[in-house]
Amino acid sequence: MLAALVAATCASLALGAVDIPVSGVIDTLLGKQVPEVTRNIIEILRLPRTVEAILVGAALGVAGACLQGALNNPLASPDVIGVTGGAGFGAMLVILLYPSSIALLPVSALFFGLFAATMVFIIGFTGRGGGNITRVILAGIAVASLFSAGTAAIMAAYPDRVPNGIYFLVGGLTTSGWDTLETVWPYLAVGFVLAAFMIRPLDRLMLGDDVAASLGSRPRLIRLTAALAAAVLASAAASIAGLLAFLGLVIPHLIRLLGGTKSHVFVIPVSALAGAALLTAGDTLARTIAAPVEMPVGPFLVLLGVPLFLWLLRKAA
Amino acid sequence: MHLDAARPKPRLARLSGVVTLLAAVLLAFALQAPSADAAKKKRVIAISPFAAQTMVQLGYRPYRVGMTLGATKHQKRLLKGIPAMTLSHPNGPNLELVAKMRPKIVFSSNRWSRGNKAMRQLGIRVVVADPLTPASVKKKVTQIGRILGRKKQARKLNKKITRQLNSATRGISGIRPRTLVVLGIGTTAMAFLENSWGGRLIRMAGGKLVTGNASAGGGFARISDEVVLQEDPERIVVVPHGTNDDLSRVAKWVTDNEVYKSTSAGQSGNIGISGDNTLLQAGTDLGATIRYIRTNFLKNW
Repeated sequence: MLAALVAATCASLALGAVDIPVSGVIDTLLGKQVPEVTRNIIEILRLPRTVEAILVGAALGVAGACLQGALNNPLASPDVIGVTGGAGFGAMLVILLYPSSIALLPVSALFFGLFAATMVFIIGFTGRGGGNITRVILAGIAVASLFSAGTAAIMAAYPDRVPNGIYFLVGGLTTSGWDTLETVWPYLAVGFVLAAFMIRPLDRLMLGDDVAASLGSRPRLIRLTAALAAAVLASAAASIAGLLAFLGLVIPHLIRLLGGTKSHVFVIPVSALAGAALLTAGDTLARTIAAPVEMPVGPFLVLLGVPLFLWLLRKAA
Repeated sequence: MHLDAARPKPRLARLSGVVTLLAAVLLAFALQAPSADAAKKKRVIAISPFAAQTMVQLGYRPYRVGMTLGATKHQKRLLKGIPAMTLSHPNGPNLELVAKMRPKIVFSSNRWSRGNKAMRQLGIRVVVADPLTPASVKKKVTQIGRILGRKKQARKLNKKITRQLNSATRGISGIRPRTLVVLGIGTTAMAFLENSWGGRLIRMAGGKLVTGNASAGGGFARISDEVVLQEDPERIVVVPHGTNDDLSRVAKWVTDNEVYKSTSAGQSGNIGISGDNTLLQAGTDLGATIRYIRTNFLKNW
């Protein structure tokens, strides 16, 4: 998987709408003298975009793995805890209602993604019977529906501005230099660190709540912390690349099927690598296949990931 | 006797001549008047901004016009006092309200094709008379004039459009500034292509459109920023979707954009923002629009 990520990264840096020789790419990265256009294309466009693809892909892969482990549900993804619905609402709020404040888009998507997840956690984890998986999932579906309805209402009210938001909804990386990453990286860092700390506890949780408790773990706290890590990562990812929740659902399954193990020691780090590799490769394909026209990456991920996933499912069966 | 009897005849003949002339004049007026009156009585709704402007300039007041979102000052002045209808996807106007108004004709655009079909089912004559290119503006003016019985006025308006266009395109030199026109300010910017309304106007105004040779039926495509850097536009025009009340913030977003900042346009401060729908929607004021583009964006006036 590491080799796939390295290959996808090299392709992402070397390929684009403008033909730049590999030597030109390497010279730019090494800080050597190159034409200004070449330097601008590599430094302003391809490098930040490749880094974003790696981080977003890894974040979604890890978020999906954490959620599926925490909720002990193979259908869990950032959609389930309301993050996707919340982030989508936050983004469309800025794009459609306050287009002149477009710079706030990542912040708004991040805020509403986390806000939606917080609502789900409060409903799902507090009070009598808090932490019950079914309750968390149902709360997530309800909150997601609430935000989706809000998004649809704004879109219906401002139809002339909807085209501006389409690319966010279908998911896609855009060129914003390092600006968005400068805002979002602390959240990604917190999410990755939390997820790393959850690897062993999630493995204990796989043995069942009673066994985990007998080993000194606190199942409800593990679930909440792992879901929180997933919410932070998925919200941060959505604020950069729009709604690409498909990655969070499919990648952990793919890794379990490929690796033949459900251990989070394997699933979480390899999901990060696989998510990063798939998104980087998909983005390269999306911006080169019809160049100079750029396609949104969301549909390409589905085209790349679904056949592989179905093949593995059939093979495993 | 014969002579006496014949004497009044010349008077009668003269009188009958006068009467005949009077009758002919009255008949001529009578033939003219009913069509004009009937036309005045016709309720005509102009959903498309182009048809609305054309109607007013032909001296025919629309019963209702589509909402004037993003209209220029000139267009707003033309349509002042005419009640506007709210338009929304997918039909355009509210079909029940249209049915209640019982218009004879609705001038619409292909954008509202679903609504057009429904209005036709209601027995309303729907005419799509929006020009897709500046070259077809005069043809559409003639069509609207013919439908409204204002052929003469349409000819006059077409002459005026030609005159203004000739005046506005005078003095365009061989050096054409490379111009990127982008639509929208969301997470992605769509470039105006050669076959878009705005793209054609830019070319008529003396600009050379930056498109990376992309093509798309709709006239817009999300082109790679790499192509933007490579083609290095000398002018950038941003057209935000819909209206934008805070152009200074939009301007900040645009000028902060790393890619635009690196181009010749960004470095020479030649990034402009179009605060209305001039580059998006067809209008009869072609000459004024081209002059506006040359003065504010291309700076070749």
